[in-house]
Amino acid sequence: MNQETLNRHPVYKQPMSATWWLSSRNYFLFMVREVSALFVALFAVSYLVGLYRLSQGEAQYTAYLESLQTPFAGLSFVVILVFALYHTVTWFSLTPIVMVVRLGTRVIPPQLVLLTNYLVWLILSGSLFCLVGTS
Amino acid sequence: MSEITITVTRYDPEKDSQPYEQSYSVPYREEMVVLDAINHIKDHIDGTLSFRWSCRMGVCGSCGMTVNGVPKLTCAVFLKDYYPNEIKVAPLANFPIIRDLVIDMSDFMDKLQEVKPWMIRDEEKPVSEGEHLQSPDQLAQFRQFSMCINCMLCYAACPVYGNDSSFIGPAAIALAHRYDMDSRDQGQDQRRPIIGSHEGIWECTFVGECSEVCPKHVDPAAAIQRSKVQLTKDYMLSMIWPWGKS
Repeated sequence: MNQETLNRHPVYKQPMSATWWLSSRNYFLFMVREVSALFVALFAVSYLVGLYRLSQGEAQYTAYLESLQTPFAGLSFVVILVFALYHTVTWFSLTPIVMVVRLGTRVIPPQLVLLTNYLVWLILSGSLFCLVGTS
Repeated sequence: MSEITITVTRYDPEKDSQPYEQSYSVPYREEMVVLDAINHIKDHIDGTLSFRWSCRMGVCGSCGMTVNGVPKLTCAVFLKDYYPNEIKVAPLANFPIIRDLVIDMSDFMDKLQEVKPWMIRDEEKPVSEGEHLQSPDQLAQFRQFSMCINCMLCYAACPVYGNDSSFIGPAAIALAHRYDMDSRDQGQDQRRPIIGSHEGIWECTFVGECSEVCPKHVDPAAAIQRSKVQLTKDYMLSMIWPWGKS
């Protein structure tokens, strides 16, 4: 609010509570979506560490893999997977709102945009799984 | 006759250092809306209560208030949806309070003007050349966003605006998008510096609550995200085609 506005008349500025995100279900789910990005980043970091270890040689990489065998690491990856899935699903569900795909004068149904996301996800994950599985 | 308790926020800038709540018992009828109840308070119980209202039919956008924590048009919220529980009516959140339930909307009005929500033409054609024709498909691209009644419920629901009032905000951006998408408009280049600024679309984190509370189903969140896509596409195109129109 600019100073000119403030000078017009006395007003009470409503404070924003630090716990505003607990005041409604939608705000809370939004915050969970935001926090889930941290877990996706955590996975990316662990993946980059793995690549770095691989570049250092087989012994280093094997040691890295062994360090992931602990119960704590296992539990961490389960938590990361849950948040990564939540992150993916919630962002995918927002895609049809953001992307309006037109073919001539016709608009592609939002459900098809959403379905395409899941199909591409499935194809990429499947391809990666086949690549790793057959190597 | 049954009664319902309406608790309203009171604030007199000349007497009070901060707002407080005051409860009133109001006759309850099934067909009454919250605005009827606070009008009853004003007319029959306490004439000092201040609030804005006008059309009583969800068109003017004047009677936006926070009803039990949710931004609503009070002319469109029925008492029966809350009865027999108490209803708490507060001013719209995120705006300064002038008195009781009346908020200072000047920040929104300034921002609205800033985004130039009107038809901009490079050159006006003479009337003798006839009207600007538009196909139903071209109309469909912006019609939804033209339904905004400037009620500011979206600003009250937006935590980004609550945390940082420099954010241009949902309704103003939705209205800018409405004109950007209009085939008759040529003002995108004039709006882009405002919409694409740090206080514009990039500040939005897609909470989406603006669209949830919109009484006219405008979907400002969609307008903001689509503007992001459009501006990103324009930027990428200007990188690979720098001598063309950015």
